[in-house]
Amino acid sequence: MYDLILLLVLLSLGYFFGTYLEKKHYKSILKREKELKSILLFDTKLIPPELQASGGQMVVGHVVVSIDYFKRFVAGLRKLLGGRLKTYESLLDRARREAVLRMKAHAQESDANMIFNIKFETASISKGARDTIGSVEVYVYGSAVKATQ
Amino acid sequence: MRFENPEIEDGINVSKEHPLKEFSQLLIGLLVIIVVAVLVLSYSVGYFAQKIPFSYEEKLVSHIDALNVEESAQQKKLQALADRLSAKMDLPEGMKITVHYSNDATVNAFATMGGHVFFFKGLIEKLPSENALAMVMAHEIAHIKHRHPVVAMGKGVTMLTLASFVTGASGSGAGELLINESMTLGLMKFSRDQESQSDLTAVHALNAVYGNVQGAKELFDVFSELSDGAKKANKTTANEYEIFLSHPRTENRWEKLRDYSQQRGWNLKGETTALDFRF
Repeated sequence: MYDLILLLVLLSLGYFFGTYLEKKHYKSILKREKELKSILLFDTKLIPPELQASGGQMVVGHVVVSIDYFKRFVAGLRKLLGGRLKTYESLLDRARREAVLRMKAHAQESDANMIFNIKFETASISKGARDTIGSVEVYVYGSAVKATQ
Repeated sequence: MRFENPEIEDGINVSKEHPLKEFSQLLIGLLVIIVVAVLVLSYSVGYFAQKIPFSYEEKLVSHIDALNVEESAQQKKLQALADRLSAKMDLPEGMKITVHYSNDATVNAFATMGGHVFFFKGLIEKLPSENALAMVMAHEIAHIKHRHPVVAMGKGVTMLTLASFVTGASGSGAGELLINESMTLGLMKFSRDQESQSDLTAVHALNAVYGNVQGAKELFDVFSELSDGAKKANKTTANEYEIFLSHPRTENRWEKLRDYSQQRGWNLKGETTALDFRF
């Protein structure tokens, strides 16, 4: 009985804090994405010849995120049946976008306005071990230049 | 040519569905599936476990030291009573009842694998007559006759396997919660059904040996007193008397047996034999 109460408390804590923080985070992501819109992202290795580019330095952005108890619980149920792990999707979406924003901020500090050859790396910190907090690192990097078009 | 990064529409990578919807759908759906699995498995295991020859069951527990009989005057007396009752209980061929006596104050008696029945001093002390003792004895023998110990073990092993599968597959507390709740729902009734079945078989034996079922009435009167006393003393019944843990409610048990006996025209009251038991 006490286990069940403890579980309910953990689930509601996870749900309410998780939802609140996620909403807040998305708000901030959308705001900063607008602010940093002028910094352009390219996945090509080479700078198109028509651009006049100068400078060039590596810029990085990385984020470590952890799942909340509620999301983890729902994913645990989902794993028994299979299907989209929806609760993880929003978490990773936030992590990737936040990492890109941090990389863009890095580029802005370096007075660059375009980033080429962007690559993402992901590392699971918990490695799926039982009873540990599921957390993941998203790392994004690229070459920033100042270019005029 | 002018380069730009277009704004990506929101909601492509993230589902707009409310997370509580998925949560409740999954929880209820899985709970139903697992409860059904527990019930199906437990009934089929119960069916097949009964087919295990009794001699296998005996062999399985033969190396357990705690099941060696410690002979004493009390043990011999209990064994004689068990033999008298089992002669009237139509036991399957080769099924042997072995009675053990313990000097412990625990108020309990139980039957286990291999036809072994345990009696505690604590319970016998509280009984008013040999008839009441015979009712307990016949009840425990009935458990063995119906193969309840081996069925319970079969179910236990199966449920543990199912539990480790579900917990492993889910890899989180979610699986554990599901399996625990389903097992409680699925197995509680099983234990109570076994008790009722044994009560009925026992009352048959009691009537066959003594010509009345007064012993059953006396036994349940004792149980009622014990449980009332415990309530008055503000103790939880279950903690003080193990016997109440897994059994249906005392009043219901006697009412059921009284009706059952009346339908068959048995004597509810009659001469009882004094309990000649020295500790």
